[in-house]
Amino acid sequence: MTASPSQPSLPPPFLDVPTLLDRSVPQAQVSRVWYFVGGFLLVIMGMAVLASVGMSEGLTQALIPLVLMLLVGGMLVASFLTVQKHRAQGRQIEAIEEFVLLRNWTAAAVAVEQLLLSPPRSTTVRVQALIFLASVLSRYSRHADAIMVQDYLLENVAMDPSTDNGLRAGRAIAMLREDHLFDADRAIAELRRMGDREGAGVTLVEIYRDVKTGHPAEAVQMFERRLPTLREKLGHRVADAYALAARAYDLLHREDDARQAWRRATMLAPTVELTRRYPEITATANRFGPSAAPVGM
Amino acid sequence: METTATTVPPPTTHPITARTAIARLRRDLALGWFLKVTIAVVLIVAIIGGDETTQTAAFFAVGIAWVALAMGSRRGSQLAAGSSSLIAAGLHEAAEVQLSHAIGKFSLFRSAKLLSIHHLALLRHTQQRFDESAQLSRALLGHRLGPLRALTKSARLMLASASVHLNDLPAAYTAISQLYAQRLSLGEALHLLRTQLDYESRIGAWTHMANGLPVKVQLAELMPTQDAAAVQALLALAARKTGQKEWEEWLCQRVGMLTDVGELTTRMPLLRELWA
Repeated sequence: MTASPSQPSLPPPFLDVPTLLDRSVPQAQVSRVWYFVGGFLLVIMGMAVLASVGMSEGLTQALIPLVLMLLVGGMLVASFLTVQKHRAQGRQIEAIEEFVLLRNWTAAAVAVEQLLLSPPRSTTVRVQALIFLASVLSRYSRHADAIMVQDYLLENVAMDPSTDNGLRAGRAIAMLREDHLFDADRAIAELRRMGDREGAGVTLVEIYRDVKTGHPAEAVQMFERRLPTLREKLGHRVADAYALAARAYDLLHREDDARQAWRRATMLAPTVELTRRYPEITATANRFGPSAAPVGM
Repeated sequence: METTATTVPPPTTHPITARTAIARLRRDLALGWFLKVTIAVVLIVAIIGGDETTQTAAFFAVGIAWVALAMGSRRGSQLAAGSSSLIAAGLHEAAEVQLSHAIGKFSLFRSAKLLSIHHLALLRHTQQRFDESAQLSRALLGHRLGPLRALTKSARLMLASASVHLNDLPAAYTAISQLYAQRLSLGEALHLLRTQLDYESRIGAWTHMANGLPVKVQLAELMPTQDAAAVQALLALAARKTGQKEWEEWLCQRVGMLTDVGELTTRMPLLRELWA
């Protein structure tokens, strides 16, 4: 079906990455100082013209401070409004971060789209919003889109090492989810080369890769060797490592170890969240069931 | 390769003390106020009583003085602003150097001075020099923060946490109570939960600690590993004291999966009875 010329243009699809990347590019802003300088010159020229056409000197002298005060007042109001807008966007980013942390994904998706549909006032806000966009897309299993955002950030933005590592680890996991095994291998090699050789992020990705590609013995070996680091760095996300280890033990027919690892995983994170992140562990989840938790949890 | 002038000041050997920093804050705020009043008086006198030449000269003099002072103050603002990222990155020595310069230099901008004191309090808190952190936070809260009023929450959280560590429980109670009157972000609420549980465990408010366990556990899950482990261990202790055996065992097992229990109990001896 072709759209007639009179039909209104359709809104972009929800969380359309190319649109959001395109529309959120910050626009070059002219410093307000130049507006002030321009205004000042205009005032001087205007007064000169008025004086030449015969306006009294007293009136000109009375007008100059008045116009200058208006100019300064205008600058102050403009600065105040700019600061208010910066603060509002800071609050928006803070809200998105809270939605993501609290796993309120729908609210996070709506807020991040709203923010990126027009150019944010600073590059920092845009970068933060794009990082959250990648998380939201992964949560909605739109891994190809998440990879697009992560690639864009890694290619165009210089980030601190910890954010850079986190982003690379997230991208490698998204690639594994999309079955882009060659790309994932390359991403893991990059992560290792960039100094995170024994880091928790790269370890988790490698365990996942080994489980996914049918190398459970390697996954178990890595898990057992690096568990202290995983525990220290991942916090409650160490549940992911336990869940993947449970799957690896299960594939190796080490039932007791698998049951114990699965019990630990589900003690730290809900089953639904673990199987959503790693669909490959569903068979193990169905086999053992979650660990018991007190009523209310 | 040609090198350009570095933006980081050279290192200083003596870290600035809280007392010196507070004295300099007071001196600079007083001096700044005096300068602003002087400038205003000069301008008013020139406008009202001066002839055209006096007015022009006064405007020029004030303009030049203001620009010179503002440019000097701007450097202090930049140093203060940059120190927070250094603290976050764990570069404490570099942050110390920047803050020493920002505080030592006169600044016309009140906000730059107050921000420097806040960041110094944060640095001292990170260095676990709680006495100085509490002094600086208190000094900061004693001033009208104006556009920096968002810092009151952060300063109060630091004051509450430092007071708990110093066992100054009345001061901790006051700071925690005042925080309840403010709208907190999630990060601030997590910080408050950690501090409040620490405080309540010291006064033995076990029933209060054990109220709303599921929500507190969910919040603990959002914290960094060591804080998550400490909070859940404190909740396990509260569950034990209130006879909730199932919760106690479950929380203890979770703590064991997150951290080395031996290290945790060395840091917080109160928790020893959980693993005795």
